[in-house]
Amino acid sequence: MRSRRRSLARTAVSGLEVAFLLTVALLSIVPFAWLVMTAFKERVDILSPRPKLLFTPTWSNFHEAFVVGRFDDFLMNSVMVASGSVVICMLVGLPAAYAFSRFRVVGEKHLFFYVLTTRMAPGIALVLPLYMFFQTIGLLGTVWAVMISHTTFNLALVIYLMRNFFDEVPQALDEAALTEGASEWQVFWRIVLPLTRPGMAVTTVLAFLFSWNEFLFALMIGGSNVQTLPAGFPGLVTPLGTYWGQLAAVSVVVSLPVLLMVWFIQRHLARGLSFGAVK
Amino acid sequence: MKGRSAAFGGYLWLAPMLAFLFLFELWPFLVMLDQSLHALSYTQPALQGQFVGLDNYRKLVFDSDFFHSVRLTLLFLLISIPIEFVLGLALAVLLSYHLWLKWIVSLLLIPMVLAPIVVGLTARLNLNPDFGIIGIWLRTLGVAPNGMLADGDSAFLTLVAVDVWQWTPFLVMIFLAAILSLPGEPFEAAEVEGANRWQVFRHLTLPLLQPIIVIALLLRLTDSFKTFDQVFIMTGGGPGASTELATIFAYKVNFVSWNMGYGSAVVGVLFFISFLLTFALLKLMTRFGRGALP
Repeated sequence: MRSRRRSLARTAVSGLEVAFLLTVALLSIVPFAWLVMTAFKERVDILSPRPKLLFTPTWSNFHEAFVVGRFDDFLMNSVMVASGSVVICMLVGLPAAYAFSRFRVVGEKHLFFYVLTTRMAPGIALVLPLYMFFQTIGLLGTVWAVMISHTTFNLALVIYLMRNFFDEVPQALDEAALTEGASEWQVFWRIVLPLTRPGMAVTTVLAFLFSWNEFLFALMIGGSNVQTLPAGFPGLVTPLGTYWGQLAAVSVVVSLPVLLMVWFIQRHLARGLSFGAVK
Repeated sequence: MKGRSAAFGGYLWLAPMLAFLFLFELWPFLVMLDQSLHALSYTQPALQGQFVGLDNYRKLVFDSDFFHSVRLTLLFLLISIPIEFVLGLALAVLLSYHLWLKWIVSLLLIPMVLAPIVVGLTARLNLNPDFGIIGIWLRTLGVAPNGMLADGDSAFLTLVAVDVWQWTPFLVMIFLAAILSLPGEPFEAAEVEGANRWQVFRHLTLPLLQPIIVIALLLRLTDSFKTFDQVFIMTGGGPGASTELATIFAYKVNFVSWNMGYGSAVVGVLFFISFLLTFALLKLMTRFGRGALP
């Protein structure tokens, strides 16, 4: 009798827990879902004091932003900046990560620490020096400057993560190849790198996303010449009013690739975002 | 010591990185530090870069706006991070009891991976008292009839709430991953001994999670310290200066008032603070010996 009551209580608690978890899940998505719906609403429906769940969907906000407005250019800029930044990150970061993983590097700890500070510093602390630097050399407002500025914070991520992935390839493999007469470069290029392809995919995606989502660097370094999608947001918040429909439409375009890519690398996300601290 | 020796101590492999860091980070940073010793403003023609020694730093020490912004940042960290940790741990542990619900982690991830500027916009839209669903709901409850962002205190609390909404999922994700990778034996033993859930959590899960909690704490500290985009699009630091975090303050000094000399000093100090945080992070990560660090 008593154990039955206990198991009943247990079922009730368990039910409450499940209800709580589901509520939290709902709370996480409702605000964003509302934004997505706003993107497909006419102006009257957006500003309606009675929130409308049912409405006639329209593409007009997307049309306004991407066809009438300049967000088609911004989209191109975003794609160029994020891809370019990832390429620079990999070219510069992969050999460094490999060296940190494989070689006895004098002063390794100090270097590592310096690399990490570039990821940890607030954006403004990196953007001001870069702004002045690019102004001096006349690169301010070019796509190159924005790519490079995004590399400054992504490089640390690439180096930390790739080192972590390189560490997982047993050094015995390298040593075997080296005794067979392979050069260090061949070991890196032919043996270790191909084995870390999944890791490189995860790293690439994360670096791409951080650049794609970035706002302050794009705003200041790109200026009005090279606006990325996020940097275009403030232009839609004007003294005359906020263009909610267009803002929501642009948000959907910014978020869609992010959600897709994250879904693909979900399994590795915990590791990627904790700098390899969680496997 | 691990690793084999390479030609030039491996520095050939590090050369691209070193060149990049020197050219685009260290050098501009040193130029900025130098500039913090000069009086320079694009809006005040009298200040054309005269050397003023430590005057900018002296000014900083007496700048109540600067201290206000640092205090706000600290308050922001001290309120939001504990809430995130308690919630994050609770949710992760609950999820570990109901693993069939693991799929909701995919939903929880959404706020975390959205662009911060989109997060801020989402909050602003939903909190609008006239047509946002949360804003309307709050108004009918009699809370914040003019919207949460119209009043200083509630705007600040909104920043905290948005941070919790955005970042708790990060903690749920890494805590759940950590819990699921814990060794099974101690938990089986505890079950045999008849320990209840709280005892298991208190005496097993929590101590075993300690390293990851420390790492997560420092990652959250540095990331929260960086918060900028959300505030920029939600309040721009207002109303008044009620949500003017240190990063927003530094932005305004440099890119709104264009006081680049003084602004360089402000940024220098912010960099120093994050430098200290990073140092602590590295020490602790090394101490706990997990993860990617040497």
